[in-house]
Amino acid sequence: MNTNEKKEILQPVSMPVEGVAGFTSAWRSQWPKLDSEKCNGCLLCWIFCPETLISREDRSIDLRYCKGCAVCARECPVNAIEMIREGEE
Amino acid sequence: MLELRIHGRGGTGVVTLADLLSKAALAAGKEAQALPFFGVERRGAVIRACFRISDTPILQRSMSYQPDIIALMHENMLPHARNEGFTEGEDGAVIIVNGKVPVEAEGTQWLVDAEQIARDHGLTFGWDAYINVPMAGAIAKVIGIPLESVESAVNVVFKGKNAASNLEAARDAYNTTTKVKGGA
Amino acid sequence: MSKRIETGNTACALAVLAAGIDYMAAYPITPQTTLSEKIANFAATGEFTGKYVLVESEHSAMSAVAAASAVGARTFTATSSQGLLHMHEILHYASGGRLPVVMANINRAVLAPWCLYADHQDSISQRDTGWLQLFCSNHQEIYDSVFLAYKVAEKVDIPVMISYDGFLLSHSLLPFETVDDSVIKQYLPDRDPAWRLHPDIGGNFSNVAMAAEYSAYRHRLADDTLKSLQIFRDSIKEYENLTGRKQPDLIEASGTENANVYLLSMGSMASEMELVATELTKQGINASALKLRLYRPFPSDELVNILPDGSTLIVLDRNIAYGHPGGVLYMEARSALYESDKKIRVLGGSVGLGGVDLTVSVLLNEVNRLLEVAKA
Repeated sequence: MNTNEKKEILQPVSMPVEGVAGFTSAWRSQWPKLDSEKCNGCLLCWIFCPETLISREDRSIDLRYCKGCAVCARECPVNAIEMIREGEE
Repeated sequence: MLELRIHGRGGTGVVTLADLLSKAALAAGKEAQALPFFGVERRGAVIRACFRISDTPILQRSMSYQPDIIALMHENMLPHARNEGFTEGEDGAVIIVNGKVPVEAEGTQWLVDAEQIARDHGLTFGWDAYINVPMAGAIAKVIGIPLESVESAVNVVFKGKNAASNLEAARDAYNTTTKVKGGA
Repeated sequence: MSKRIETGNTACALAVLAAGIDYMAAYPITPQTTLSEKIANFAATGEFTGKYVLVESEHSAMSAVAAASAVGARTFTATSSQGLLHMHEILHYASGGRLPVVMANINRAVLAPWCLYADHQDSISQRDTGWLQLFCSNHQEIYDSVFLAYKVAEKVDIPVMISYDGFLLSHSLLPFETVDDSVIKQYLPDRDPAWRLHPDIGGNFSNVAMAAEYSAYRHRLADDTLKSLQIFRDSIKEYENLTGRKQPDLIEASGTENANVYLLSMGSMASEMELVATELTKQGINASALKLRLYRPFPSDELVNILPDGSTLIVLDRNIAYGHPGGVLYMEARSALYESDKKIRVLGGSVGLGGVDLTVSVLLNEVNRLLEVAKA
């Protein structure tokens, strides 16, 4: 082994990859709907979302991966997020 | 190869003595090994250390049970030395004693008043005297390590800190250690 | 290069100082204590420039050095006996994580009952943790093994344990030659990990692995452990060339060549065994002492090559492989020789447990007893 040789990574290392476990939206029975009128931009939903799906910029929610856990709705101090039954608007 | 076993009490500097002797031997161009035995390392506990000096690398890793020389840090260590075993008599082990009179054992003995020498040079701590440096001087004389080698070892081990008084004590012991005949 | 006479623990501390360690964490335990104290002292005087962390347990010490190794640091820790057993969980983590941690284990008996003295049961209980294990029989080997350990660990990304006997080596004074820092720097350049935990690099360390991935990692570790044998051989040669000082082989033979009786052992007793071989030869039995330097991976080829057909191999262990007659080295030797066409009688015994003093006469008695068994 010389020093110019590129060393192979042997450690058990994994890099974050989007959608590595498939679209988890299939797990959902209800989806979060954000009322931007009520939202005060406190970013608590952004902090608490276990799947980090809520955008810091516009609070849009990537529903492809949302499992419907409702943590965002529970944490929202101004009740701007409502959980809607899957299939309904 | 020459084998020496030191019998002393915890807190009197036997480990440092072994360190000094091995550094002096190295300075004299010899191969050496110091092997202190650790048990209950408390002040006053009976302890022993082995020291080997040779012209060729030392392969032993065990203690000495038939040493050529026994060093007694105090006159009353003789029973402990006997417990560990050594050959007594004219052709047996030479005994080096810190004391004013020979111990009751046959064979050749060397006497040094290490306690008095330590006190003369202020090497004391409370009521205790640090007898290890004068004993190093005495042992070096008996086993044929030159005084300069002992001095260089003292300078390495004590690095400035009390080096001067320790050097004086080592020299005093080296020059006053005398060969006597033991008796039962 | 200069010749010094110091304790084994000081020899190890001086090598750690020269090896350019970035991070050290340790918890004191007899007989390791004077080693961690010495390095702490170097840290206090500013000679040791790495970070020195005093942790609350050995489990934490190993966790800390494993984590520091994962961020790319060159790390060191040291322990003994119960401390090593307490680290056990994280030893697997360090090897599975392919973290090139180096540790000194000052061999001491494991309880119960309490015992402070030399015994290899602590190291050999870690045999299957995936760590590479070096054993030492004198202070020169302790000093040199530190550099060899980092050299190999960082090439194969597997941690290395350097073991040496408590008190007999750790607290005894023996001469050894130090190597100039510039030579060490050449032998051991700064660590250059292929990947490390860093916010700019990203990634997840030791994430969940499913069976197929897990099994692939484990087989890879097993393969690389065997491959490290050649890396050990090459690294020893490189060290010899740089320092101009002859190094013992993975199994160092001394005494008569083509002997009838071979005496295999490791640790401090391997040194005294040279005298036993001389004594046996005087008694009219051509004998040679074999000193094992590398225990994991086991240098089987070396053993098979040294032993002539029809010779007798006596293996003395300072440990017990419970449930097997004798110690682990006896087991390894028999396993290594099984595939060989050579017909070699192998006998083994466990001696020196809990620091029983292994003088030439004690060892000679045991060897003669086993030779009688061989005759029967």
